[in-house]
Amino acid sequence: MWTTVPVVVGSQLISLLAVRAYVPQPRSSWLFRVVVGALLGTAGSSLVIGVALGFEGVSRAAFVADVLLFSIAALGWRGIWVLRARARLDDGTHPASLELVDRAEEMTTLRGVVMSLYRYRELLRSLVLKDLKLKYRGSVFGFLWSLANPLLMIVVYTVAFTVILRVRTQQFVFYLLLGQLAWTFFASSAAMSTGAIVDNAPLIRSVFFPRAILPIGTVLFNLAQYLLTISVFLPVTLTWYGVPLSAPMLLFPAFLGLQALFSIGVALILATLTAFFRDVRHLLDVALAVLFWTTPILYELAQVPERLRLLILLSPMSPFIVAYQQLFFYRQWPEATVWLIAGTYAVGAFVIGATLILAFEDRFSEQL
Amino acid sequence: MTAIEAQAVSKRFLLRHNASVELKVRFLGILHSERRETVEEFWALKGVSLTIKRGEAVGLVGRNGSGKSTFLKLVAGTHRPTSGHLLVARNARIASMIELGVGFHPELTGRENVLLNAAIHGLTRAEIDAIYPAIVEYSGLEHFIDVPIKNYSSGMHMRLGFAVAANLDPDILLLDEILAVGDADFRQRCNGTVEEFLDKGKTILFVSHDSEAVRAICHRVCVLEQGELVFDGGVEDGLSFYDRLLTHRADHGDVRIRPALRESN
Repeated sequence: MWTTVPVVVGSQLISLLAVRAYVPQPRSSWLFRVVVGALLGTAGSSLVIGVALGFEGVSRAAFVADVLLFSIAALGWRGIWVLRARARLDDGTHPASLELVDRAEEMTTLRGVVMSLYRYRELLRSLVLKDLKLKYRGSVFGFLWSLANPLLMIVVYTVAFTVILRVRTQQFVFYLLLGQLAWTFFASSAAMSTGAIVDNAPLIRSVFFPRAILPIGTVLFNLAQYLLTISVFLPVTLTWYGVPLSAPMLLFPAFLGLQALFSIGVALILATLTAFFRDVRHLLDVALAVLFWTTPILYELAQVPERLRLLILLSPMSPFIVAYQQLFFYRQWPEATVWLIAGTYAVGAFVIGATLILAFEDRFSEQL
Repeated sequence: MTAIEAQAVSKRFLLRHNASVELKVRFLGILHSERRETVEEFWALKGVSLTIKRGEAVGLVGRNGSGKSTFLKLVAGTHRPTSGHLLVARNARIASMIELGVGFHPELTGRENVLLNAAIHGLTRAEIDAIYPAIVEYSGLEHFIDVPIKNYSSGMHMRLGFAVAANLDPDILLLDEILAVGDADFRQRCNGTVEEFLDKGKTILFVSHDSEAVRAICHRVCVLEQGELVFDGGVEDGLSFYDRLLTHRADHGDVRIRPALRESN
């Protein structure tokens, strides 16, 4: 059962600490240590579970999901460390070293791009801050609007659905807004990203920087907005409806991360396409309207006829929104299918988007 | 020590007639031949090979459309060569003063714009904090730094842009005739900065028609003509070569090579 997850994770973490995998400066034996640590931890936890509960009914999906999360965390740890080390190396060599490089060529490799994104992290931060500042500049209540918005939506929806439409489902507004807010994060990132390259034409023509920063910045800006909103929405609704806190809610950051990665991928694709076909903006309006209804936001996945259910779940935003609903509304661990689809979409969109912008980046300055 | 090395660099621009980014028009083009997009090739640079050492100040002269600015854009990295390689020293910081104050957002204050603009040039937070006071002082806009840029005059706008570019501590400086604009005071400041860069042994690439300015700054001149490098050498020789080129063209008429036409679709 999913209840065994804490035992598995805890035991793995303990064994990882025992083999010292998470040290500040990973050594060459690092991969070996991680593998050994994970194996030891899994074996240990299985032993504990086997002795205490018996293997009857233990979900293999729990182990798989855990291993997945675990590998992502481990790779992330390693990646950050490598980038840090390289950045230190780079800083040390300024002013310019003797080596000559072809900057145009260097930007065509994924490694080069990831490195340059890391080197331009201050730009990413500034862009997100700029958008946030601009959004509230001149308004009296400033960013309080972001906090007031979800509260107003709760009131309006409650009136609409309990007084006017008389929906009987308990906590329907909670369910609806859970999906609606996550949808808004995706939809507005997608809509804004179409202008990320096109609207910055003068900048792109005259300064050299990794172009992918612009669409990524718009997604991060929308993510910041979403986090502001959710930080009001969740506490308020959870107390108002008396929803008990439960362990699955801890998985929220994992799915939010996947949704952010997915949105970045989509943003890269849309930003690149808009540079060549302005029609993308109008097509996107239509596509978003269709996608809204093929995503279980206003209805529950369980209400969908059995044979259509997988189809609905395959709609781009469905796995993420279904996951949030399972975490907070049904308070259960998401099924392996949801994990699988969400993970595939996130990684797939990101890889396609990154490839696309890399392939066409050099033509932006002439095309715009 | 080489700062910039161009190896047979060529740059082709496609001039689109009836160009459209709308799908509709592209489909219409299939039916109506007069609406069809035609693409004209234009070679802005043809096989230019050039090596510039660190600390050199090179003047690029040539008539309009000879490819000077294109060469600067290739060095700046905003455009990529169609063929050939353009190499720059690894991690060289390149400041271009081709267009000043690009990327300034009218709603943001001077301070916010300086921070954003420095970040666009790839500086880290610590580096920005270190040069920020110098930028403000250099621009002479202490009093207006917390005012939105939209309330700036165009001169103030330019001064702030120049202040950012001048304080980036670039290894390679690209100048494109901006010294000709602005009031006398501003021009003097610009010249002072350029001289300072020369003293510090920075590499300067200067595009100009003004032979006086070239004499003042450069110790080497490259003449471009129709995308080809036709002269590379000393300042006086280069300028007189350029003069002869101009008079020669005037005497014998402008013989232009007709660009190859080709149809897309």
